[in-house]
Amino acid sequence: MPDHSKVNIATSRPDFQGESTHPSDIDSIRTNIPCQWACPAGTDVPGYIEAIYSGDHAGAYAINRSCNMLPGVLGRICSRPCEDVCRHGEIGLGEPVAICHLKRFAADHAPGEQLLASVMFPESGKTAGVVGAGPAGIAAAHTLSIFGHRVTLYDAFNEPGGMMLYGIPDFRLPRDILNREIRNLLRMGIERIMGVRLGKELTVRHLLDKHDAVVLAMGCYRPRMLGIPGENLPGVFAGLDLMMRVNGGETPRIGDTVLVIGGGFTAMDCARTARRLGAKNVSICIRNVAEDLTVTKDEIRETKREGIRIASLVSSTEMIGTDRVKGVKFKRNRFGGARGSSRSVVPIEDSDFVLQADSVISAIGQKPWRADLGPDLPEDLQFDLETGRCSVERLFGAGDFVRGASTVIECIGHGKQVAEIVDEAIMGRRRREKVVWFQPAENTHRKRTWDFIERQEMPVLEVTERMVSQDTEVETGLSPDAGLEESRRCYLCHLRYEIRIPDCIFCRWCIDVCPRNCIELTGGFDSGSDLSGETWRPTTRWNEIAGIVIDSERCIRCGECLRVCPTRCIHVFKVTLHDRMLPGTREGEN
Amino acid sequence: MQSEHYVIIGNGPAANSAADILRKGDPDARITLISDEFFPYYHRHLLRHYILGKKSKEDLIVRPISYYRENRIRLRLGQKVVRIDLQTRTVFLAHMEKVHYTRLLICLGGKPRIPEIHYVYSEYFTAIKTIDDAEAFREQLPGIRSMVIVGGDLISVKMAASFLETGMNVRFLIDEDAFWPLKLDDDQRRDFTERLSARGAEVISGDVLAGVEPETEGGFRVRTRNGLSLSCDRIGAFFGLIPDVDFLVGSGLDIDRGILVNEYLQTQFEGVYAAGDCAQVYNPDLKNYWVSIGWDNALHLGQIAAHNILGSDKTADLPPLNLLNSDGVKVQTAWWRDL
Repeated sequence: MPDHSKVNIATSRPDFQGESTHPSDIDSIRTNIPCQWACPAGTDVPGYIEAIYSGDHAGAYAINRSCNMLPGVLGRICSRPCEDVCRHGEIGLGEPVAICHLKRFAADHAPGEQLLASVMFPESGKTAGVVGAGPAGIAAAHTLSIFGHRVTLYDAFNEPGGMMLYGIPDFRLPRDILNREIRNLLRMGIERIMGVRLGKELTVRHLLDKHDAVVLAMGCYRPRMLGIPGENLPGVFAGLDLMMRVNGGETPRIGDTVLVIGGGFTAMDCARTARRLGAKNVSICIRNVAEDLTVTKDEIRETKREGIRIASLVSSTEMIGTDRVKGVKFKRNRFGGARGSSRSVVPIEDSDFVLQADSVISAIGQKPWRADLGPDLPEDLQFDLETGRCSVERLFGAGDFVRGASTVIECIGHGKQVAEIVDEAIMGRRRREKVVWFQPAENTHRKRTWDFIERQEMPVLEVTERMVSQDTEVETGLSPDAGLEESRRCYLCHLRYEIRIPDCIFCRWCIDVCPRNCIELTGGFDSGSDLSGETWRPTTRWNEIAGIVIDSERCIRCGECLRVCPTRCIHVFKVTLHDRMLPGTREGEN
Repeated sequence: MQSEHYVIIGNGPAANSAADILRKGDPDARITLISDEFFPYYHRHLLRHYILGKKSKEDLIVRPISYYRENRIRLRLGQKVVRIDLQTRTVFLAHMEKVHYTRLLICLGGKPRIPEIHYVYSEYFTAIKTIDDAEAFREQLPGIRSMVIVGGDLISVKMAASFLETGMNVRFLIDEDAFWPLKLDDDQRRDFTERLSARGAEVISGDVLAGVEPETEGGFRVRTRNGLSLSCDRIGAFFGLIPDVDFLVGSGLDIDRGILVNEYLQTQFEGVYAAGDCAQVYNPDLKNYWVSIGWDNALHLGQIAAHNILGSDKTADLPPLNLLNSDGVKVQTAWWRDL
C-alpha cells in the first residue's frame, strides 16, 4: 500500500523535513514550480539556476544531465515549454527567465566529461532492445541501463542521434557537442548496432526472441504531402529530405529564389539552410500568421534577420511547371468563420496568385514510419500514447514513432517514461517512484531589485559571418557576466513560504509589504476530494478569520514577508522532486 | 438603459476624427481617449520645424484641451494601455487601473520600423516619431554636426532638408530596401538622389549598412558592405513606420502585420474596432488585407470606424495607388500589401 500521508507543512515545525508521495504534494510541484512541471523530462530548473548563481556550473550541468540527459544540445534547440509558464513572465512581472540559454551556459562552462548523478540499480540479468537512436531511443536506452538491464541500441543510420543529427542544422547544433553528449550517455555499457533497418536486417519477432523487451523509437521520417498538383516536380524538396542531404554533406542546387511552405522548426531550418546554400530570396509561406508559429520568438527574429520573409495568410494550391518547378500558385486566406471563435482561416475566393521560384521546399511535418514491422504483427498496431504499450506483449513504442512529430525534449521525456513502464513489465513490479522532498531552507538570498533585471539577450554572429558555412554556429552563448546576471532573475520557485498559523498574531505586516498581494486572510480550508490540492476561502471579516495563507501560485518568493514578521512564524521550505527506489530494491554500485 | 462607454486607445488623427463623429452621433455616451503621450493631439509633420525652433510646441497642437471639455470627451494623457481583456471588455493601464468599455476603438498608430537585419544596432539609432523624440533631438541639436541617415523614407527626406538648413553634414545611405514599402525603380531612385544632392546631402547609393560601433569620444562609426567607414554624431534610422501592436499579440485579436479587421474595420470581437496606422484592413476588391500609414488615411478610417460603431455599414476606401507624384515627395499616404 503506497504511503499517502500528506505533509502539511503549514502546521509542521520549522525544522521539519520529510518526503511525500501524496498526490497533493506531487501536485504542489505543478503549482509551485511550473517550469519543472512543464518540462517533459521534469528538469529541476530552479535547482540548476541556483547552482549557476553560486558558480557551480558542473553541478548545474549534472542536474540537467540527470533529468534531460543532453544539456548542451537542449540548451540550444529546446522548444522551451518551461519559459512559457515561467512565473517571471506573468503579466506585470516582465519576461520569463532565459531558462534555455542558462542550460547552455552551464554546459558551456562545466568541465569536460561528467559523471552521472543518478542512482544505479544492480544488474538485473535482463536485456532490452531499443530500435532507433534518436532522442526517444537514447533516453529509453539510457534509463533502462540505469535500471540495470543490458541494452542494445539499433539504428538504420551509421551514427546515433536520429533527428537531432539529420534534421537539425549544424548552425543551430554543432555536431561535436551532440556527439560528445550522446557518447557520454551511451558509454554505460549500451551496445550499439548501427546501420541495420527494421524490415531489412531486423524483424520485431527476431528482436523479441532476443530481448526481454523491445522499444520501437524509429521517429517520424515520412514527409507529409501537401496533396496538390505538381508536388512531385523536380525542384520540389521535402523539408526533412533536404535537411538530411545537407546534414549528410551534400550541397544541393536550389537556385536564387526559394519558397518554403510550412511554419515549424523544420521550415525555419530549411529556409535558413537555403540562404546558406546561396539562395538570395527566401520566403516562408504560412497559412495563418506569425503568432501561430510553433517556433520560439528568437527563432523567428534570427530567421528574419537573415533576410528571410514570412508571407502570412497564404495557402499553396498548385506547383507550376512542366519539367521542373517554376513557381507556386497560392490562394490568400483571411481570418473568418464565427466571430469571436478560435483562429480559423478561410481561403478567399478568386484570390489566386503565383510566386515564381527556382525551388520549393515543402516542410509541413512528418508522419511515423510504420511499414515492415514484420509479417506476424498486426498491420495497424496501436500504441498507448502514454505508456507506449501495445497489443503485442513485451513490445513498446516511444517518442515520435507513437505520438507523431514533436520536439526533442518531448521525445526524451517520453523515452524516460516508457523505460519506467518497460522496467515494471520486465521485473514484474514498480521499482522507482516520484517523491517530493521538503527541507527547511533559509530566506532567499535574492534582492528585490533583481526582479527588475532585464532578460539577457543571446549574443549572435553578424549575418555576414553566419553565412560563411553551414556549420558556423549562430548563437555564441551568454558571457560569464550575462549568465550570472540572468541566473539572478530566477525567483527560485522551489522555495516555499508558509505561515505557521498557531504562531501568527495577525498583525498583517506581511500583507502590507507583499508586492503581489499573495497573502490572504482566510475563513477556512477545503481539501480537494481527489486528494490534489487545497483551496481556501478568502475573507476580510475579522470574526470569520480562521487562518492566513500565502498563495504559492502567485508568490514570487521575494522573502519580504519573512523579513518583517515580528513573530518569525513564516517558514521557508525547499521543495524538490526526486526519484526514489521502492523498498526491496537494493542500491547498486555507481 | 445604461449609456455607452466608447473607449478609444490613441490620440492621433484616427482617434480624434472618430471621437468627433461619436460625439455627434451619440450625445449621451461617455467617450474616453487614452494616450501614452503626455502632449495633446499634434501635427506630426511639423515636428521638423519644431526641432529647428521655427515653431513652438504650442504651434503643433491641433486642438486645445478645452475642446475636449466642451465636447465632454475624457482625455487621459500619459496613460499607457498594457493589456486588453476582450471577454470582460476591460482595458488595463500600466498603473494597474482598469477601464471598462462597451465599444472599443483601437488607434494605436505606428512605430518606427527597424528591419530585423539591423535590430542589433537599434540602440545606436535615432528615430524621430513623437514629440518626445523631437524634443530630445532639439536639445542636442547644437552638438550634432554630422548625421548618417539609413533606410530613407518620405519623412527622412523632409527631415534631411531641415537638418541641411542648419549646416549639418548629412549623408544618406540608400540601399535596395530604401523607401520601404515602396519599390523604387531606377529612375525614381535617381530622381531622389539628385534632389537630395541638390540640397547638399551626400548620397551613398547601392551600399548597405554592415556595422555600427559607438566611438569612445561620442558619436558613431558606420561601416558599409562596400567597405566605407563613416564617422558621425548621429545615425538617423528612417525605415518607415509599422503598426504598433506588439502588446496585443496573444490577446485574442487577430494580429498579422497590424490588427486584422474586415472592410467595416471590425475585429472578430463584437464592438471592437481598429483604425488608422495600426489596422490591417480587408478589401474585397483587392481580395487581400492592406495597411496604410499616413495622416489622411487615419482621419478617414477613424471616421468610418466611428460611423460603424454607431450602427452604419460604411466600408473603408483604399488610399490612392500613385504614391509618388513626379514633382517631389508630396504624398504622405503610403500603403502596402503583403507580397
